[in-house]
Amino acid sequence: MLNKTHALIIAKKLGAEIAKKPNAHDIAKIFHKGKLIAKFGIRRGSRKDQSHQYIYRELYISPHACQELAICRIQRAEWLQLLRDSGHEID
Amino acid sequence: MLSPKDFPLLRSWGTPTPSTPISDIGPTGTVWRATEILVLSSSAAVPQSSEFLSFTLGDFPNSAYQVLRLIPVVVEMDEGCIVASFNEANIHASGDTINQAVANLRSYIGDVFDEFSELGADALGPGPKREFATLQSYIRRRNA
Repeated sequence: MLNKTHALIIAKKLGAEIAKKPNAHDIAKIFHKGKLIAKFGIRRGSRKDQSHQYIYRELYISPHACQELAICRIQRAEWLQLLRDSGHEID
Repeated sequence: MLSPKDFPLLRSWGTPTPSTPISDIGPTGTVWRATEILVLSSSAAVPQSSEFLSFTLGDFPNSAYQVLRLIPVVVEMDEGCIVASFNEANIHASGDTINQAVANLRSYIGDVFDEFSELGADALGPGPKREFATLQSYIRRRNA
């Protein structure tokens, strides 16, 4: 299960900018060549075990690939390549 | 077991198989203000992995956003977690309960709309641009 710790690791690894929000989520924004290509919500609150089992959907990848991203087997460049390989436009 | 009568606003219904009761929903809890009020009865249960709840959300009178057409929402279990999704706009949220997941989705929809609006369409890549166009067809800010 993807949790808040994973979400924060992934945000850092993808070089996301975090937009602080007053509601339930902050928004991690990932830019490529100056344009926003993906975003995902990071739940607010101190619990690091909060479920974030939705972020793979917002990152356009499989749950498995998202886990790999969280445990450092996939880097930003490989994530971008995964998007291209799956036909997802980023440019 | 959850049944359509537990969700007066349900427009469609997932696989009707037995599901696990959740204990933290009171006898009657209002979880959403829509065209009508969506009420979960005390028998409301978390769908199992093969099930989903599908319903639509209407306007929120006290919200900063006006709903232009009903928002389709799916609630499902994913790796033991409750995930609420507005799939067409690629917006998803989770929660410890169905109520919380749907409330989180509701606020997140507004936050994403505002974030996309602040960035402007020119700063959005192809995916977010499509998602923003979808969002704009469903909601707008009341003061806009």
